[in-house]
Amino acid sequence: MVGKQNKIAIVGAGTIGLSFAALHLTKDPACAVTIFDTRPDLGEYVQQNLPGYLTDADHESCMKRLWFASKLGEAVKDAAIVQEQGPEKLDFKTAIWPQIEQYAPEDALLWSSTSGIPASQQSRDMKDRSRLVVVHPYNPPHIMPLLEVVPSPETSQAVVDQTLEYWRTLERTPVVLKKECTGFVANRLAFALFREACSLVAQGVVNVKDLDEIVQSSMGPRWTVAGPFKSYHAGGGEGGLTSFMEKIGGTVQGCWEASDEDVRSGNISVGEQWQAEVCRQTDEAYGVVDTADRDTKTRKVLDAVRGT
Amino acid sequence: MFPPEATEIAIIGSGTIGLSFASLHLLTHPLCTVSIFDTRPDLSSYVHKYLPGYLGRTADADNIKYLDRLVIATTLKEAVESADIVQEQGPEALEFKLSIWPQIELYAPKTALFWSSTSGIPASKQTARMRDPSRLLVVHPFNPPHIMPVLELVPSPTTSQTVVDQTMSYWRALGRSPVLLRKECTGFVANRLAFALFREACSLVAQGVVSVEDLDELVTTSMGPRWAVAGPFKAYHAGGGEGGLTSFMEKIGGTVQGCWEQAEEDVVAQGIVVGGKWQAKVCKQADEAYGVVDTAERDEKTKRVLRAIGRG
Repeated sequence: MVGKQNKIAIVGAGTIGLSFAALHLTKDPACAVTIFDTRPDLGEYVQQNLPGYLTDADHESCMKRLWFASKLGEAVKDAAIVQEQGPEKLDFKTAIWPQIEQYAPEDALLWSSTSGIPASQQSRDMKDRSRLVVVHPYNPPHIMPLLEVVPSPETSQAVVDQTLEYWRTLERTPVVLKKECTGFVANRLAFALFREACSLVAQGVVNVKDLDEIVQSSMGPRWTVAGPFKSYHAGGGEGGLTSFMEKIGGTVQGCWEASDEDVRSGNISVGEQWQAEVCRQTDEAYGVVDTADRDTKTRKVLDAVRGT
Repeated sequence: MFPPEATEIAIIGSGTIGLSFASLHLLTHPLCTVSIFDTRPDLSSYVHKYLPGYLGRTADADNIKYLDRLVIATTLKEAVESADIVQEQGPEALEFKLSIWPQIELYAPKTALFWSSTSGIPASKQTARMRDPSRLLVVHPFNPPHIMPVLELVPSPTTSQTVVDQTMSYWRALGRSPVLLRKECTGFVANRLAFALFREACSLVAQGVVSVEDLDELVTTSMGPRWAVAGPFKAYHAGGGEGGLTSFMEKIGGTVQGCWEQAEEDVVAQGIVVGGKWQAKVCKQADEAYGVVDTAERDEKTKRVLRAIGRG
């Protein structure tokens, strides 16, 4: 599929849309991208903001392959792929897909970048529900290789396979989830750690900056090289994860129980009393984060683990 | 006492943590000497066999440079009597800790720093029989300490500020990342965070949402690299744009709360407790996916990543 000129329609020109547009344009020199959004100043807005996502790329070549559409039908009519990142509202999603279905070619791949509205809900009013699949990035997708591919029970295997093939050709890391679930996987894992982090800071065990330092100097590097299961499996020596759970299981259980107790007693829910202090510490520690610097360092880390 | 001056370090307990710490001191502090003590009868041959692996060398010529500064002590007294630092990584049993510190206190110099590498027995418990409990500090590594730079410094309520300050200075001079915890708590911080994520991981695999191998791949291509550069608070603060973490919580808070609630429900529904039914299935997937892990390769990659973030 990649190779002949792929036309990709990007519906929704927020940060995710621009990041994806940049990703397609830089990684597939043969593709053309059409952006559609209802904002009146679309062309100007994209011209101004997209270059920031095109680091290391040939801007001229990329911008030449970029188009704008003022109508949805115009954007998707020749598309091989339609990628949606509009408002995170069920009504928006259920309304847009039948329209896209009406105007897009029959074999166009239909992807939603949603972080929370599963394909099984979005596809409700479509003629052919087997066409839709969630392709959820880790922000920002032009830097982070992961894509969570979350089919609905109706999504066809062919759609999943073609989606995987596309991303692998672009050297990204698509991971297929076997079931839809709240938050998918990446956010579920990250938010689980985040809750514990909020709990420990709220208790005064450590401050925000020090907790970040702990993570940056331990779990971050460790989990860049090997994920949690592989890491604990290695930690178990010859007996692997089984052995790890035998030896360290008591400690793990003790931590899980202390966590539950602390989250309860600290009332670690969104919007509760702990939140203001944690946000204040974070503001004080970091001010405005230099995301360009963060992205450069992230690229270095990704290159380092690949040995490139 | 501190780099660049000569320092004598007594390593009590020659398991993997002891050997890893021994090699860390030898490699990063050129003027230190290390005494190792353990009750195992074959201590000398055991150390000479395994320590080179931690030093990252197999050739003998290079090793001599380090092994020259290594002493195999035959008694605890011999190990600690002229030590500047006594670092304990013996059995994780309270009775062991309670009995060893008074002995160390008896033989070691009055100004020696006392560090325990424990992952679970706080200093406030370990010191119960000591004359001077202000001397003990938990210095908990992330395994293995000769590779991973973080050290959790966990004082008891009675640990002296001087001990904390001197410990910080020592590790900073060696280019490590010592972080001071302000309170003792179960599991300290690193393990609490890692195990929290691990529980969610077990829950999602147990439910059949994703396989062990796929979850690991997901983490190494998202959270891992993200958190190597910016920890969770900084990362979400950046995600909030100009309004920072406050703004992030306003916009994404609903999603976060939904995930937290679902996570709780799932952990209960799946019975995610250690030793539960889910465990055998998950361990089996790990065995099938990974067999025996090549830790040398893993350590090489880890070093490259640490260098990329300026901590290697």
